[in-house]
Amino acid sequence: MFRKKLLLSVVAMLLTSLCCSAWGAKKITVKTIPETATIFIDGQAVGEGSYKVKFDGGNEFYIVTVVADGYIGRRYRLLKSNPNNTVVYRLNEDEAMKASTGSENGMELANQWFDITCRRGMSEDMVWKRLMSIATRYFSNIEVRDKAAGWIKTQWAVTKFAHQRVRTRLEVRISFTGEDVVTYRARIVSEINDDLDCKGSDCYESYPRVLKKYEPMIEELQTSVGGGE
Amino acid sequence: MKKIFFMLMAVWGLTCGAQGVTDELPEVEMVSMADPEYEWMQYDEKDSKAMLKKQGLELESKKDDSLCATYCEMPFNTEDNDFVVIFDMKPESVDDKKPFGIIYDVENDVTYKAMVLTKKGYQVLSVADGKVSVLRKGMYKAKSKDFSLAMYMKKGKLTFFVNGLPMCTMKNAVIKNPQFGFVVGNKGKMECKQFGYKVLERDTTSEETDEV
Repeated sequence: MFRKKLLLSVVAMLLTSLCCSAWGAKKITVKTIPETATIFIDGQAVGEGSYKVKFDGGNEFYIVTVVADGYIGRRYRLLKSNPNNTVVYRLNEDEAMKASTGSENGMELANQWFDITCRRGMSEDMVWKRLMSIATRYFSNIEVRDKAAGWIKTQWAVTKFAHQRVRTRLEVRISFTGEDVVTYRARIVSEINDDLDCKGSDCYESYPRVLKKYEPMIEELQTSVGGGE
Repeated sequence: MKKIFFMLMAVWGLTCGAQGVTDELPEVEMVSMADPEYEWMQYDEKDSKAMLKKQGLELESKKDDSLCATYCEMPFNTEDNDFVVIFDMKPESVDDKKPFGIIYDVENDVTYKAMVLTKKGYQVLSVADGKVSVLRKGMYKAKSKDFSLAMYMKKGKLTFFVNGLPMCTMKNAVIKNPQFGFVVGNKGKMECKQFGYKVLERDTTSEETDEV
């Protein structure tokens, strides 16, 4: 009886070790928040929301990239030595995108010059006053105000989000003056810094979106100064 | 030509789930080592050798505890520009004792920076007046003896890539000297196959002047 039990135990141990060696490669489940995020392993898309990473072939680590619409993508190094069986990667919301408008709304005004054809009969002086009034209402400081040259440039207005900074400025320049027609060109310059460890002006890059809080300004430029077009 | 000497540190550490590595590597047009526009250092001395051959530039360290390098000046300002530089190489062997890799920000034979690989992993080094400091170290991945090492400088962040995968990023990095090249040590031998670079335009409208 004892020998039978010993034999059974040995067989059970052998079977267990065989199973372990057959599926012995370390596995770590990667999960994402949000669950709709796409997971890339060493640059290859492997799935959404969840993926079981297998460390075989001598791989000691994988580069895991996680991206999702409306969220800031991140890249991580997943080490084989990670003691957890499941690793959860949480993405931060792209707050700047949610607070801004872009091509999806037909708004492609960021960093583009657009014309303001002033109302007929409105004097240059009146136009200038209205432009200055609009600029100072939305921006604290004016960097350039040259009436003779017809040039207004505001200082940067920085909007802070949890993981990003967006800076915006307005620039207006006179384009053409006819007998009773004055035309200005304006643009809203929009730039973003999504790496808050980077300090300074060089950390910003062009952002093809305008913060929603500046949308009324565009309308005011067109209606208060322009002919409503 | 000058030789470069330093002692490698024997202990390799593991990174601990490093976060937030930077973007994909931009595409770069590669250039032959024999391109006459670029004056790579060539020499044949007792302890080291760097000579142009048909397949590329052959770099050889003939002595233990020594590094030898070949480098040339890239035609762009490394302090004011974002850029990518890529070096393709094939070491004769990948083992623990014979480091190979890239050298950059070369001021002279005792002041430079380098990223070297051995079988255990990589190290990013800073050498100042002959004194070695390890800036970063960790593991990398390689499937063959052909290696492509790249440096991607963007907005003050310097990311090192090995075979297209980002390995580590250093923030607030400054490269003063535009001299870049290949390095091999401790009786190692390497074929420097090709290189490439690309100066990237900083994507900002701040400095733009439009004609109105």
